[in-house]
Amino acid sequence: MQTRQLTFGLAAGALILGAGSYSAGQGWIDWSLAVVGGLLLGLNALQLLGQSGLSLPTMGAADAGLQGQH
Amino acid sequence: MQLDIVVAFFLFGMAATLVGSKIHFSRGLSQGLTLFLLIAIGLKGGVALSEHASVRLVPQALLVLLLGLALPFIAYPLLRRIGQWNRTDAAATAAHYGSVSVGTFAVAIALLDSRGVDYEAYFPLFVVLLEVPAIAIGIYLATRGDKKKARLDWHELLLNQGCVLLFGGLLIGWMAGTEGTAKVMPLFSATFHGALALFLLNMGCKAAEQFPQVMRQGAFLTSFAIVMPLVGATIGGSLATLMDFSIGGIALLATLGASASYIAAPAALGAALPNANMSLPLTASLAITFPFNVLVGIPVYLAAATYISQSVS
Repeated sequence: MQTRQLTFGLAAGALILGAGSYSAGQGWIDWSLAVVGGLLLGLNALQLLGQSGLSLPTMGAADAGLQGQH
Repeated sequence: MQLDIVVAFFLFGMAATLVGSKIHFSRGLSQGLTLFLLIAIGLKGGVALSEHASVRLVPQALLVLLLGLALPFIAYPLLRRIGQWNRTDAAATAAHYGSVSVGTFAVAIALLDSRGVDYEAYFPLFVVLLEVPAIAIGIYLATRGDKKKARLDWHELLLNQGCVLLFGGLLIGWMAGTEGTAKVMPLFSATFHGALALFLLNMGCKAAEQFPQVMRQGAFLTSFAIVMPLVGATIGGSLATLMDFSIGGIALLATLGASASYIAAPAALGAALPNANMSLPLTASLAITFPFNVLVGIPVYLAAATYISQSVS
């Protein structure tokens, strides 16, 4: 069920990271947007890892694991 | 990165709350600051309106209204199809993202003022126009096809504190003009940035208090609450470019498109859609979108507006 959500988050994170890095590289803006994109990408990647069994105690992953045990 | 002084207060509030300090704003002070900002923004816009009112404003206002109506129709399918949220929660959240945040608008104005960027000073009129339509669209999306219609309290919707104070300030400023408002303007203009700093300190504390809720909701809420403002800003900025606005005007309409309501919309939708989980939109708008816009979004929208204006001319 969460595949679409995570795909969306990963794609959005990558896009924002790419656009932010390119714009910052050209000197139009500072690196803040790229940092946000990177954080978003990381956040979704962590949740994906958590769901795929690597049990990282982060975000909804921990909750999902607990719900699964019940 | 040059940090604006009022934004520093926002970061300070967040940091203090995250380390466990209790900075207490009484309800009265919190409401007083909001009231002050609404009146100050409205008055300034009204004075500008008295000097620059023209028929050109009518098509501009209609297009801005269209922006407010369109944004929920973009947010809703995202939440339904990708987020797989139920209809009521998706509609309530979409309505928050079509409506606007006066606090975010105030920060954008402060940034433009501090950088000496000109803008169409009658913009508060657009804030009033954008406040309500999205809420009605949200209720329509949540209840379409239902035999039992939601109770839409138009009185509550149109006469909410934000709308009334902003509209009242606009009207008084418009009727009194520059000379008529000269006696009260020193209070509202000289202390505007100080009041905004206190308001943002309070908002920083409130946003940080919501962080545990963000952690519980998982990554999708965060992704949506960052993507949607960027989509709204792109549409708002494009619309402003189309209407031949100044650099500041493009940045302001992008900011309005990007902002999400956290005062008017929760009150109106909470009453109209009692089954909606209001913690979802409130967490998204207050704890993610507001900090994102204040810390990252507004400077980016201004930079993009500058780049677009230079490219077009």
